[in-house]
Amino acid sequence: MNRTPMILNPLPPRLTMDEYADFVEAALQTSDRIRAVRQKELEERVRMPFRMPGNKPIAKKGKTGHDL
Amino acid sequence: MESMVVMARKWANTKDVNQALKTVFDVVAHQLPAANVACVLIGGFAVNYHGYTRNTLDVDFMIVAQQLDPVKQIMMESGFTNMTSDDNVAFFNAPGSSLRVDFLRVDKDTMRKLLVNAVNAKVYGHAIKVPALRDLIAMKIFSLSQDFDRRLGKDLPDIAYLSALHNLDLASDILPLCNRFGTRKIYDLIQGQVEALRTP
Repeated sequence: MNRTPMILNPLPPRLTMDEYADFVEAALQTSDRIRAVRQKELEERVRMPFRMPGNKPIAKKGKTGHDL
Repeated sequence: MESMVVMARKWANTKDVNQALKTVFDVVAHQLPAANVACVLIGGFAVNYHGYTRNTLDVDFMIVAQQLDPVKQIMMESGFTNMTSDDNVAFFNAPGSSLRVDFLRVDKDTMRKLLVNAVNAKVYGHAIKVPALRDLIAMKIFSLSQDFDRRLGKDLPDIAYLSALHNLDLASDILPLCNRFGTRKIYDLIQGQVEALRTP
């Protein structure tokens, strides 16, 4: 017996930029602010700024912050 | 997963959608260029532009490090509050919203190179510069190499999905970027993820 695969396409749906902005906005409106802040603290930091090879770094290593 | 599209379209029609995001894109498309501040959209929005849609809780941009002061002034005049800023990044908040807007600081030459290859996206009708696909992947590889354990869950899927979606060649497209911005270990991880995505 043939079964239809549960996942036909492993890729997520494609949103236009406007749709994506609305999606993010709605997620922000319904999110728990404290948890959202905590999540960002956990997942993101910048130790070194991105630079193309051959360029001098603009900051010392060790600073923390947010990333991409 | 298709429900994301339906939800996004429904939300797009909701009249009480917060204006903060629209203000951010207005600032970046019009007010910063008027002050001669170059800016490129990165993060989840840039990843979405290149075809991989995933969740995010903020909007991220890159600016030239020395141009933070006019960015601060314009953002605060537009109603945002500056949470913190350091040598690498400045964070802004939209009052009454969980929205955070981050400006990562890079050197002038890096920004110049990014702008040469950048593509134009439109968000809410505003023209915004987005890094070219390979430059965005380079940033992700760089970020992963700087804080591997913490960034693995976010950057690796971004790189793998973008590579698979755009049919990038691992040896000729990704390996050189890993050699320049990351490590062989990162390349091996990307290779494994992309091959898994390509497996029927």
